[in-house]
Amino acid sequence: MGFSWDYLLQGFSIALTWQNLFWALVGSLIGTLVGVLPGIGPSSGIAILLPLTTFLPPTSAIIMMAAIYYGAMYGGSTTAIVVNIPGEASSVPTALDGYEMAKQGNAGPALAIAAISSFLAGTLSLFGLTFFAPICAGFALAFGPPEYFALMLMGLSLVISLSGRALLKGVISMALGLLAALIGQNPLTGAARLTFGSLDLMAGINFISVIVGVFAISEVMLNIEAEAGAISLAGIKNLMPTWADIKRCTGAMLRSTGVGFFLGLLPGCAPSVTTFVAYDLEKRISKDPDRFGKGAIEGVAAPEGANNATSTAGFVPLFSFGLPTAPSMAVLLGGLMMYGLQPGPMLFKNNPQFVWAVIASMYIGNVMLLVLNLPLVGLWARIAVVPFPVLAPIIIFCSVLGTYSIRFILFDVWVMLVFGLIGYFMRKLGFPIAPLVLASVLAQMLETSLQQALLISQGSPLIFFTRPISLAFMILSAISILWGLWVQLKKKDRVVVEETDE
Amino acid sequence: MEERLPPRTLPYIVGVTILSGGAFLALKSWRLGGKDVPLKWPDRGAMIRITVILLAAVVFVLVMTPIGFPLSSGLYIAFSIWYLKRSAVWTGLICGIITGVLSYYVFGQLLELSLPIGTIFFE
Repeated sequence: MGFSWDYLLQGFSIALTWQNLFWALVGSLIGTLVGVLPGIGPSSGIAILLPLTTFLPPTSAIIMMAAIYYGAMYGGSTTAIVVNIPGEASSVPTALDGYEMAKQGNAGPALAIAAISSFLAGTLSLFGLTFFAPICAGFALAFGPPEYFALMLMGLSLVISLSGRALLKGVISMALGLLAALIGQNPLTGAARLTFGSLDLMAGINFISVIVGVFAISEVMLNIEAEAGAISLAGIKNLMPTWADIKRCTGAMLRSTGVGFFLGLLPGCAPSVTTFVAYDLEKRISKDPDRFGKGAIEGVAAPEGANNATSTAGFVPLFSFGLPTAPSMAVLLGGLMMYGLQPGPMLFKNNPQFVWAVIASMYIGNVMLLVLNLPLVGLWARIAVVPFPVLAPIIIFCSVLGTYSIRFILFDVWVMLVFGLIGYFMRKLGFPIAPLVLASVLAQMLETSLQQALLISQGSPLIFFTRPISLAFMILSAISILWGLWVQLKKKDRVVVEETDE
Repeated sequence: MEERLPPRTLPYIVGVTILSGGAFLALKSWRLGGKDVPLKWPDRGAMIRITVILLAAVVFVLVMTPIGFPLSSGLYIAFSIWYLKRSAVWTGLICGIITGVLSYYVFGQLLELSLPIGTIFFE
């Protein structure tokens, strides 16, 4: 199984039908909106809308969800540049130079270069996705339950060691996610556990409720606490960057695409991490690094490129292994499972039209976003001015509607509100949220593959260490935990990446 | 099918991880006199704002079944916007009415989501 032009062309023929084009456009618009508005990020945006799309056929629904995801990557930079409020955590480095440029009256070129860099990096990484994903899927065909278990274990340990805060808190966060997912029926035997005789708990805790709670609700609570008010806005003039600007940024765009794409293949390297890495790299190799932080246009191009490259790269492990690398990928995974599509190598084998249609739609979506973003950027910036007192109740309303529509039981809504409180306290106390979210989504597959592997080995855990691929994953997870420990012991006060919904 | 993984194992592992990890963190914090995590709790005003908005959401969910989703969501939106921004009475009312109407026609009728329409009006 490898790349084939037939499949890609077939994918384009499906993605170019008018319904799918329409849903890609709707997704791009909603995504940009989600990206522009502070207080709601791609994970909660997709999670809230997911249950509302059940009237769509799976391909259109996933095309729209993916468009929301990469659309948010375009939108996040707008407010970062214009008003110094990053819409997403990944846009924090963009604000450093972008806002300086805006203060000097160059908001237009900054916004334009952000869109161009996003487009270039998004499209180049799509080539990467197109060629890498089938190869990885072919490789993953040889995986059995032990390999899958080891792979997911590696994913979780990478997320913990990279989440940038105390390692132990990451472990506890993951354990909380697993605990929530364990409630209900055993996926293999159907035996009830941790249900305390309650019928509601028997149905299990839906991870969409968990995600919407810890992201959307806790974010709203934090913003209400800070009394986020309205944003004032300066006019945007002379939109286009000069050719000299573009020439100056070409290197930064290409380098950040490489950095963003290859780091983005790893679990835990969410855009909020890789954008900092790309920004730092440009600063290091620049001839005069002093310009950075004072309105250097490369300082806008690099993080925006890395942002889009990383978000596209995340689809490689998602489609080929079924392994989400970031919370928003976990939500997309949940969406695929809701439609009965199990991501992983069999997806490429059994549903090639679906996978290739989604990939093809991403090429189209990137063009749409470039077209939408260049002329309409002033409009998007104005939408960010919606005052938070109006936005907060609407976000909570959407969260209630979204979680209720998963299974139409009120219990899911209560779970969402409880996890909102949990998420709020976790953020306050410095617990990373990504391990909890990934664990709650992966738990079922993790447990199933563990049980199946132990059935094969007749109860011996040695099976994870005697098969070469599984052994490699086990060693990698051990290394990532040890590396995280080492970093933590060596540098007591390292820079912490502010974690929000990425 | 013989079970190789006893049903208690995973919940126990997870529970022990959380408890021992929490105990370790508590011990560390106690030894450092609580200076390990600089905590910033909301002031009184912020605490009240958060509580009221969350309680409003709880009431919204509680009355959803008896008075129906469109009406409860409209009231929730109108109240919360007015509460967070006292000068925005009209914005709140208009947003509330739009939300209720959208809930009924778009989510209920067009998207055919089976939202509660109110047991006290429709038996």
